[in-house]
Amino acid sequence: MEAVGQLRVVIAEDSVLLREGIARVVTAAGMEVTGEAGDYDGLMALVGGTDLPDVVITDIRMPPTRTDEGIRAALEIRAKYPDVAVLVLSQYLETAYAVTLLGDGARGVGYLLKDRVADVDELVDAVRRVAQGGSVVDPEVVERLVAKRRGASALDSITARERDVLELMAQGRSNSAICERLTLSPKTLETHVRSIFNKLDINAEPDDHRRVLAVLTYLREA
Amino acid sequence: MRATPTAMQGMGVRRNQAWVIAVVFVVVTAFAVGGVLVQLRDDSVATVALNFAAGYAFVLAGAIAWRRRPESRFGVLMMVAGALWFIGSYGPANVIAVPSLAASFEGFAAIAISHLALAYPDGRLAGRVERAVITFGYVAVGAVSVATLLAFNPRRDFQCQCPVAPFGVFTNPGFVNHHRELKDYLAGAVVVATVALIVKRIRRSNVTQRWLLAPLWVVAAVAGLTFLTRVTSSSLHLSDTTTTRVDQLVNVMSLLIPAAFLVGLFRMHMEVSPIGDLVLSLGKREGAEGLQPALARALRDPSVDVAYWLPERNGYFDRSGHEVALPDPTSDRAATMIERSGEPVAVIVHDRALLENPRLVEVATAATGMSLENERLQAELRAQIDEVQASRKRIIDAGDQARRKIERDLHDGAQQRLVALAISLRMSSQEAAESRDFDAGAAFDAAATELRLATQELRDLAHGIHPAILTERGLAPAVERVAERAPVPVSVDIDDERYPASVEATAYFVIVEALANVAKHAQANAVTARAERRDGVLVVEVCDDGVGGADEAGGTGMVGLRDRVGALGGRVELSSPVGHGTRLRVELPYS
Repeated sequence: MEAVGQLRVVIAEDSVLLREGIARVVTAAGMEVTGEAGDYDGLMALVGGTDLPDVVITDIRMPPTRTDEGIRAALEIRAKYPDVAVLVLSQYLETAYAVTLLGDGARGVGYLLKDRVADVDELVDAVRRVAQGGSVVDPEVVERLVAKRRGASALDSITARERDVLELMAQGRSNSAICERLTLSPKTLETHVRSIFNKLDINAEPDDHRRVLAVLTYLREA
Repeated sequence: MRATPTAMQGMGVRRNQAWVIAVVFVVVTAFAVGGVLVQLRDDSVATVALNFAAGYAFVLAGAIAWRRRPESRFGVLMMVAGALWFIGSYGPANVIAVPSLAASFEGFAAIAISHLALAYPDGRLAGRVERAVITFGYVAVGAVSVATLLAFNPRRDFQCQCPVAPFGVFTNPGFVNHHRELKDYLAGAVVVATVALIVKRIRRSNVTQRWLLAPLWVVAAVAGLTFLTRVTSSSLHLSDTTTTRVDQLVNVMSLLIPAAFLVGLFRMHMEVSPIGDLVLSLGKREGAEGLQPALARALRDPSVDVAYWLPERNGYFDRSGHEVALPDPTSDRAATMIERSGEPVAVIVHDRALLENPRLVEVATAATGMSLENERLQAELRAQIDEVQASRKRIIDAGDQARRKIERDLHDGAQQRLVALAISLRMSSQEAAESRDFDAGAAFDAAATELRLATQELRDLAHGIHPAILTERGLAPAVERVAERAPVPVSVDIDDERYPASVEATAYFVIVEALANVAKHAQANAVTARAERRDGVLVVEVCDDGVGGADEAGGTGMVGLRDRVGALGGRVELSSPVGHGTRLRVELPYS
C-alpha cells in the first residue's frame, strides 16, 4: 500500500559522504529521512518499537565485519516487520545475494547496484516500488541471468521483443510500466507475457511478484 | 625407558644361553670324538689326529664365539660346520645304518665353511646372491646325498660285515662310485662363487673394514690352495701315500680358518664388540633406513635417536627434517654431542644407562664418521626443503591477504567517494536544469557519464583483485559469477562446502585462468567447471569441448598457477590432445 503522505526512510551506510548523498537524493524526491546509521547495530536500533520507517536503504558491507551485514539486516527486518520495505545496495552484484534476498518469495525487497544511486530517478523509483510491496532486482542481474541462458533452447525461441518484456518483468516492473517503456498496448503485452510463459513452461499467475520470482528462479535454475 | 629393561633382559638371556652352549658343546664334542674313534680302525693316527684337529678347531672356536656374543649367530654356525666335518668319519662304523648315512652325507663341510665366510662377522648372509649361493650348496649336496643313500649297498661298497643296504631302493654301483666326485664338483662351484664374493667384498671395503675382513683372506687362500693341491694330485696320479699326505696338508691348512675367524672376532670385540659390525654394516647398507638402525644395534639401545646440527636453523633436526628436542637432564634419556673442530655436528639421544660406558658411544660415533656427515647434509637439505615449502605458502598467503586488503580499501574508500561524487554531479545537473543553465547541466551530465564508466572499471578491477563474495560465501557463488560473465556457456558443479581461504583462493584463480584460456584459445562450445572434496583433497576440474592442443609453456598464467598450487603441496595435470578438448585437473590438499 502506498504510504499516506511522505515516505519515511532510514539510511544505513558506513561512508558518511555517500550516506549524505543518498539522504540528499531522497529528500529532494520529497521523502523524509528519519534516521541514519553507520553500522549493523545502529541500523537495528533505528528499526524497532512503534516508530517504524516505511523503507530502509542499506549498504551490504558495513561494520562490524564488513561482509554481508546488509543482507542479514534485510532478512531480519522483513521477518520482524513485514510493513518495512528494504532496499539493499551493493558495490558488486552477486546473484547469490539476489537469490538470498528474493529467492523465497519475499516482497517489499530490492537489490540494487550502488552505482544506480547516482541515477537519481532510478533510486527514487526503486524506493517507491519496494515501499508499495513490489520487488526490485537490478537490471544487470537480470541481464546476466538472461545472458547465461543464451545457449538454452527454451530462451532461443524467445523473440527480441519478448526478451525486452522478460527483462522488465524480472526487474519487477508492473504491466503498465512495461507498456509505457516499450510503448505497447496492454493487450499486446498480455500476448507477449503469455507467449513467454508458454515458451519457458511457467504457469502464469496474476500476481506480479510471483511472476518476477518465477522468472528469476527459472533463469537461475533451469 | 625402553632401553633399560632391554638391557636386563639381555643379562637373563645370557645366563640361559650359557647352559645351552654348554650342552651343545658337550654333544658336538662327543660326536667328534666318536667319529675319530671309528675312523681309527681304517686310518693312521697322524691322519686321524689332523682330521680331528681341523674339525674340532671349528667346534671350539664356535663355542668361544658363541659364549662371547650370544646374540650373534656366527658361533653357532661355526659349531655346526665343525659337527658336519665329522660325519664322514663314521663310515667304518659297523652299526646297522650308520655307515650308509655317514658315507652318503659327508661333504657338507665345504658348504658350511663357505656359509661362514659369507656370513662373517654377524652370522647373517647379507645379500641375495650370497643367500642363493649357500642355499644352492646345501640343496645340491643334500640331493646328491639322498640319491647316494638310496643307491648304497655298504656290504658291497665297503666290503664290510654291515647290514645290506638299509635304505637301498636301487643299486647303482656307478653312481655310488661317482657320488664323491659329483659332490666335489658342486662344493667346488660353491667355493669358487664364495671366493669371488669375498674378493668383491674386500675390494669394496675401506681400510678399517679390510682389517676386519682379514679372516676372509685366509678362507680364500685356503680354498685356493686346497683347490690347487686337489687338482695337481688328481692329475698327477699320485700314490696312496702321497694322496694321504696331500689330505693331511689340506687339513693343516683348514686349521687356519677357525683360528682366523676367532682372531678376527676377538679383535673386533675386544673393547666394544658390536662396533666392528657397525663399521661393516655401514659399508653394506644402502642408506635408505639411515644410521639409526645400525647405531641402535651397535649400542644395543633400540630407542636411539640421531639428530643433526643445522647452524642456520640453530637446532637439531632428524633425517626427515623435523626438529628434535634435547632430553631433559632429569629424564631417563641422555644426549651425547658430537663435535668436529669445536662445532656441533650431531647429537645421539640414547638411554641414560649407556652413560656408564661412555667409550661405547664414543667409539660408535667415531666409527660412523662419513656417514654421519652425509646424513647431516641430508637432514639439512630436507629441513631446507620444508622451510622453502612453508615459505612459499606464506608468500602466497601474504599475497592473498594483500589482495583482500587492496580490494577492501578500494571498496571502503575510492569506490564510495566516486559514488558520492556521482550523486553530487547528478544533483548539480538537476539544479543547473532548474536554473536553466543548460551548458553547465550538459557538462555535469557528461562528467557523470564519464564517472560512471570509471566506477565500473574500478569495480571490475577491484573484483578481479579479490572477489569479496569468495571470502564471504565461498567458491561456488564466486565461480557462478565468473561463469555468468564468460563468453562460452559454463556449467558449474561445485557444492557449497567451505575450505581454507588459501585453498578457496587457489581453486578460484585456477578456474578463472582456465576459463580465460578457454575463451581465448579453445574455440569451445561448452565448458564444465567442477570442484569436489576427496579424502582431504579438493579436486578442481575444468573441461572444454574445444580444439585441444593447449601448451603449458605458452602462457605465464599456467606457470603462476603451478607455483600457487605447488605452494599448497598440490598437483596440476593438463591434458589437451589436439581435437579432443582440454582438461585441466588440479588437486589441492587441505587439512
